Amino acid sequence: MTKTKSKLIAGTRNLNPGDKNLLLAFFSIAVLALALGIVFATMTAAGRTGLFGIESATAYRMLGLHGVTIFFYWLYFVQAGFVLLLAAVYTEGAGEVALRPLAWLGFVTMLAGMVSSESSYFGGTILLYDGNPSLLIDDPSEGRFFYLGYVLLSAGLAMVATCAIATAVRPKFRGVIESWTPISFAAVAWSGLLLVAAVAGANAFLPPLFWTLGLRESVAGYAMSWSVLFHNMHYLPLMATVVLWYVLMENVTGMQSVFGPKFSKIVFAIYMIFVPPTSLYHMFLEPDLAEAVRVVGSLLSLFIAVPTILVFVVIVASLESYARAQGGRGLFGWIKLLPWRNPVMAAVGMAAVNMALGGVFSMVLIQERLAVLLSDTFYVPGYFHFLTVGGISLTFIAALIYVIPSLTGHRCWRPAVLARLPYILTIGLGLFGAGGIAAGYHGVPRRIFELAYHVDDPVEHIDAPFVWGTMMGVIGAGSLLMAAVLAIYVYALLRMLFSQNREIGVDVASLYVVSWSGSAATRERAWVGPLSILAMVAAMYGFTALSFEILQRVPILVGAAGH
Amino acid sequence: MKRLDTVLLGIVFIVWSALALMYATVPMIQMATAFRVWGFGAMLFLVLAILAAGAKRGSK
Repeated sequence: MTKTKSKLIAGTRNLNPGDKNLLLAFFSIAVLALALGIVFATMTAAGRTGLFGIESATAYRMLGLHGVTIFFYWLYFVQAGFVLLLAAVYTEGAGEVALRPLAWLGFVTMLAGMVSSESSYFGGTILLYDGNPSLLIDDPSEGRFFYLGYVLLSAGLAMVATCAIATAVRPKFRGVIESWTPISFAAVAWSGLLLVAAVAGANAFLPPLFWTLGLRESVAGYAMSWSVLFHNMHYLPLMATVVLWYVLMENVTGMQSVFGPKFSKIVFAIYMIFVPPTSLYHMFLEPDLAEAVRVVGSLLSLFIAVPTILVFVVIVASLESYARAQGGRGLFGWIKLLPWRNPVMAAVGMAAVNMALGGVFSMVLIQERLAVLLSDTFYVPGYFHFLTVGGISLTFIAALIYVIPSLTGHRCWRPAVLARLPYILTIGLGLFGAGGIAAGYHGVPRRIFELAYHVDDPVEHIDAPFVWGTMMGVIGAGSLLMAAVLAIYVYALLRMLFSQNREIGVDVASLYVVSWSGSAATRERAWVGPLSILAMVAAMYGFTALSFEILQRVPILVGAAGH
Repeated sequence: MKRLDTVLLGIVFIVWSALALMYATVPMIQMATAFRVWGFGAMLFLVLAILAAGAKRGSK
């Protein structure tokens, strides 16, 4: 094993006990939310596929809880922890989290939000994670705690983001530094977008909260307010993911971007520049949206992946250059030199593969003419789990594998086991995704649990297509595999949080890495990054054309809602 | 590198301001209240750019 000189591990270990406790609080609740989300997901999958007996109404409620718990609380508690950590560790001269009491207040507010949102399901709410208030026409009071939870989450996030910005800005004002490192700059941009998302959350959820409290007559324009928030919620975890890829690859290989720190900052800034203009496609399902806006929105939506692709190319090209400088040969032979026995490397590697798959299929969905046909089908969960589970959550878990033992001083639980999990997770995702996307093309609805139907027409009898059941079986198998792998990850993270056993696992600083820092890498060839992008673009084109071909042959009556 | 932080944050402010203005003034887009969100974001990045610039002048 090579001893790593990881800045992430060393910087995290050097934080003061107060900051460590704060970060552990965020990461502990994040892991709890992940665990709950897996349980709710398993129940949802059971309802959809008949794996075990569960009523449709209960399964529907589990779907709501799954979406709320994962999309809002797992992803935002873990982001809150990482944005504070990166600002404190990667801003030279910071050393600690600024305004720590405010960060604690943010944590408590977010936790209160989580309790409120989750408890609303036991109070009888029928809302899904998008909180569509039109479902509460009969009894608005059923949504009170649901919306209150989201408003509290937004308020807490605003406090945490303020602390992260203060952490990065303070050394500048003290005259310790003149400019931020690329990661520090990314943390500031990320915090800025978190603050904007918090405002978008208040903009979307305060009106329905007041309505459910009887303080206003109705809620107008919710679809648009939700779309703006939802757009931010797409971008935030994506940005967090690529920032963490950048950090983690530096820590497991010692590489620096061959394009230099200036270019890295520019790429992170491009993320921010592309956020607002690409948001129009969320409005495609609004029936009275002007045709010209639909066309412009479709064109702009093509740019949504540009920043992520740029960071991917920067990282892959840098890794390839460094690996070739170490003797890596062949178009793909250099990849073998990467430290795949390290669970962090394995997770990030498969996260990149899954993100590419999710990216390809997402591009199909955001085409204006396909969005209307596919948005209410199982195509949507089929493709986005590649992004949310296989890309984003896997990356956060990889980063937690490094960070939690560095905070607690405990050992990293069984790295050899953890290094194999990303591949099994990807097999599960492959089953779930392939089954889900195929089910979407066949018209399987995504939010209806009782799929069987029968029409007794005098001329012909109509039943649900037989193939729907087969596809649900494939989706169920993939769901179970994913849930099993994620449950092992949760167990491992809980061990790293709480177990003081010194016999199982290794010191996180002893995980297998390669040390390529200082090696001359600037004149090496690096084709795999650009070639991967070409392959992705070709796949996007191919699947979009295929989707048009398939859907043009299917007689479809459309009655769609936003996603 | 010294001024890059300020310049990049300033560019974000300009783009977000333009978009916020467009959302507020072009009803056809149907995103009028999005003006509040993107407009707040524009102001936030302006403040961050000013902070970065001001801090640079104060640094050793």
